[in-house]
Amino acid sequence: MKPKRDLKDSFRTFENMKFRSITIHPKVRDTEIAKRLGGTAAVGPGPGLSDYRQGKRHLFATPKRGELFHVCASLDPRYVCCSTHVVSQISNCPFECTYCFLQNYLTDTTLTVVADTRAIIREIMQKTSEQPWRLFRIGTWELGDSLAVPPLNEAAIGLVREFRNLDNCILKLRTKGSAVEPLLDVDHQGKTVVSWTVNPPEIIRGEEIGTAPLEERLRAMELVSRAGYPVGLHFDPMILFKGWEKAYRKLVRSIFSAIGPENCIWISIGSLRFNPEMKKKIENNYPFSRITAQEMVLGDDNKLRYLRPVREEMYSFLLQCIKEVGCGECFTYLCMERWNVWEKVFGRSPFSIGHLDYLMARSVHERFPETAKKAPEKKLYLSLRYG
Amino acid sequence: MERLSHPSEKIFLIVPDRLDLSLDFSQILEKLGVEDSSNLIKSLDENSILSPILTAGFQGGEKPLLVIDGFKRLRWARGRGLARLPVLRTGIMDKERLILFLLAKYSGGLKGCAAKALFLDYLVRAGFHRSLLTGMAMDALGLEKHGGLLDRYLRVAELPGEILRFCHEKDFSLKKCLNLTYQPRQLLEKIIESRRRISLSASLLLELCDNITDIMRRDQIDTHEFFQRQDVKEVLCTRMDIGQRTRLFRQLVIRLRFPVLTRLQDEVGRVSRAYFHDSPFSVRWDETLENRKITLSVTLRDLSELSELKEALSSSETEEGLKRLLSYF
Repeated sequence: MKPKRDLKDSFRTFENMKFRSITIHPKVRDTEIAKRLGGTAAVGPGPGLSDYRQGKRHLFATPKRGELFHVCASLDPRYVCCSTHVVSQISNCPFECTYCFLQNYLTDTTLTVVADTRAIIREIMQKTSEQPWRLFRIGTWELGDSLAVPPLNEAAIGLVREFRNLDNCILKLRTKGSAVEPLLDVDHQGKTVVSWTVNPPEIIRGEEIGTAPLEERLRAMELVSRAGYPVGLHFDPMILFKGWEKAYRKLVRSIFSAIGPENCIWISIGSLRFNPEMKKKIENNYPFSRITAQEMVLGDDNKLRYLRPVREEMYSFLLQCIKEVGCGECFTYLCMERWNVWEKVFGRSPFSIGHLDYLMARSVHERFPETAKKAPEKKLYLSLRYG
Repeated sequence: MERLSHPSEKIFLIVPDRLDLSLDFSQILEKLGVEDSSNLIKSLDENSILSPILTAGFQGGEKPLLVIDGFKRLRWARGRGLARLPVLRTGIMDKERLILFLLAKYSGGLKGCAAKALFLDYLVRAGFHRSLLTGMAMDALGLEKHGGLLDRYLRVAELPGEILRFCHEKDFSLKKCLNLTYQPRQLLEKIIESRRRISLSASLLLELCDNITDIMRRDQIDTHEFFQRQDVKEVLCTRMDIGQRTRLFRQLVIRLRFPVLTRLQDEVGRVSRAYFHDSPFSVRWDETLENRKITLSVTLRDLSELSELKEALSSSETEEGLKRLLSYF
């Protein structure tokens, strides 16, 4: 069945947040992304903004500077991490989530996209060729949303095409939007996972300002899964509120009414966490939000989280909901959690970060052979060293 | 030979209403408790005004004369209903000279963040250009000449007077003062008002503000409703010494802010006491309940105690206690 074409409604979020300026650096004026930005864009240096909110409304297409490919910055050997890799193609995000760490992180807040796709691919090829046996999962979402709004979603097309030729790599696009239309006709050959950060409508409305409502995300999920993309799900951050159990159960059911468990490549679960200095930032920027008022403790990684027993209860509950809808076979893991939490929630934990990396590669190979053709070798993954 | 005129020739007698008191900083200092005027008042009561009130040279004519020194004398004179006052019009003819005069007069004595913040705010209100503040004023106060830093001091100056006075008394750093600017005013004032009942240090004030703010946000109540809670009223009105009452109030606030954590900590503590009270071990655990780790420590004075320790360590009581404790992690 051909996917639906008319997605104008999905762009509602973009209509509310048009860019005030679009600038293209002279060095990338001939790139595909620059051409897509159209004739209204100015050519010149970026505006170099420092205000977090202001930067979200000014788009700058830039050449690649320095190294963009690295292991996820959250990796901490004291926690179980999935050792995903990221390529920082995008910096800042037009959406405005109250809990977003970017509000306390960026110095140049201009929404920047690296337009030089070929240069990004060269760096990825060079680095991933050093470990040809390993399956690299590579995301573009570390400092922004991969597909937030046009033309950012179009910037991903070049990468989707290039990843077809990278045997040991998977591209991970991650979004809270619904602007997936440009991806639907691309010949991706199963090498791109389109994933969503998901939360119940109560949280989307209150804490994820400008993002697509749940029903639009679900419709977009349905479309990309019909277009053959594996879908990733990130229940992260799970947020506590009155009635959270009912809301998360309903959320899981809605998602798996839109897509089948067989389309879901992996599910990650995590809970709200932020640095202590972020707390005041959130309270000042979003005085209506009460997410910081919950009971939280400081972890070894200097992040505030809900109490461990509370997190365990939340994760176990969600896992139960996932099993209830017949999605127990999907590879489900915890993001940035402790070994003892894994044991409480799953009854076991990986031996090491390398072991989790292996388990994920094995699951992808077994369930999505087009995405990972080669069976992973356990001993090579276990030999990986972190931290 | 030219004859120099005597300074007294420049002194005029003027009615107090013809004087502009807008540059009076001494009143602000008095509110902070920095200046003690009692000796000056005593001298004025005994001798009246001995030296003239100084005014700037650039303001006059239709406008009242701008007083730059002698504010306390002037206030004393007004209080006594004196009809005329001796005034000397100085050669200060522009704002640059005026700020130099004010810096010489005040900046040396300004210690602490609150006083400096108020002084910088006073200069802004007096209409001095920002460049004069980030230049010579901040330099004279021993601060880095930096616009961002000036803004932070000006933010501190917006705190209510009672709170600034408290900050000054406790010699709060800029960081601590700034933290207070982010707290709800009503709550800050209420806690400061409770000083007769609880003994406040800088860190306790911030801790109480942070925790009570979070409780109010979580429970969607306001300051008044929080202090009307029965348990809060009971602790604050308890008849005991201020130190004990402070401890109780702090514990109550922590308990209200972290109800689950304190309950679990209490349970772990009870298990620990039940199994290890009479043992040679002291037991510690991660109070955030994050790390699955129990630490048993012993003090050995003599090798002969070793066998007793071994026995205690391998006892079923110890094993059961550890098992129970670990089950919380």
